[in-house]
Amino acid sequence: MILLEGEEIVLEKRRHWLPIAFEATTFLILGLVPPAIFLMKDFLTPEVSGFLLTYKTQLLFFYFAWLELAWAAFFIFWTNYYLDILLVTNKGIIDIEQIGLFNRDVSRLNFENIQDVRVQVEGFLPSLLGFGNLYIQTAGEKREFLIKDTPDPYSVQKLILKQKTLVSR
Amino acid sequence: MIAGGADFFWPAAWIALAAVTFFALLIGALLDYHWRNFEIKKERIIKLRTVYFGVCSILTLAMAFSIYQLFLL
Repeated sequence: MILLEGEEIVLEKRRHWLPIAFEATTFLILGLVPPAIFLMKDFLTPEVSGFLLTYKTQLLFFYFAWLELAWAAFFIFWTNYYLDILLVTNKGIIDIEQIGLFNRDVSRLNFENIQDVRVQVEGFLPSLLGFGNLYIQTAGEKREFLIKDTPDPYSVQKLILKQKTLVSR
Repeated sequence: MIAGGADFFWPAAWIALAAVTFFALLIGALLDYHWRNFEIKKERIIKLRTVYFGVCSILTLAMAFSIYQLFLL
């Protein structure tokens, strides 16, 4: 585990579900397009509808294969989302970014190195649903950390600053 | 000769079935590795595995069944 000895998780945050839901809809559309085409066969040209009816079983086979590939691709995508996580602990912040299945970036920030925490809520939906970007300015080599689409970013900002104050006492 | 199809469909279908199943299992193994190593709440892993492999099994059976249906034609 990435936690140090005596370190406890105070807050665990993932990206807001809305941007992910938009991207996940693509997989749903991919799964629904073939049956939608088949249902519209009466409106298509006689050649196309004839082809669809003649090779119905073969097309059904490829549709299931297509669904299985889309399902596996969706789970890769979902795992990348799910393993992207921001952890606020009693010792600092751990930002884990799962970029791909073989690409993982884990950054640790000690509260002493944090200089500023900035929140940016941009756009209608983020303002309405309360999510936005969280920028953490540090004294380290990597000057600014960006945590995208954080739900309830103001409370996260408040918590980080509170923990920082507790540590510096 | 398969009605409405071609003889080459048989080997192609079995190869496609094997390839898709292999791909789904390979991805499943990789995802399982990630969940076991990087998931904070371990009890969620069993559910994730069940959902992923359950749906994959259903789709693989559906593919095999559609090949069987062709055989009946």
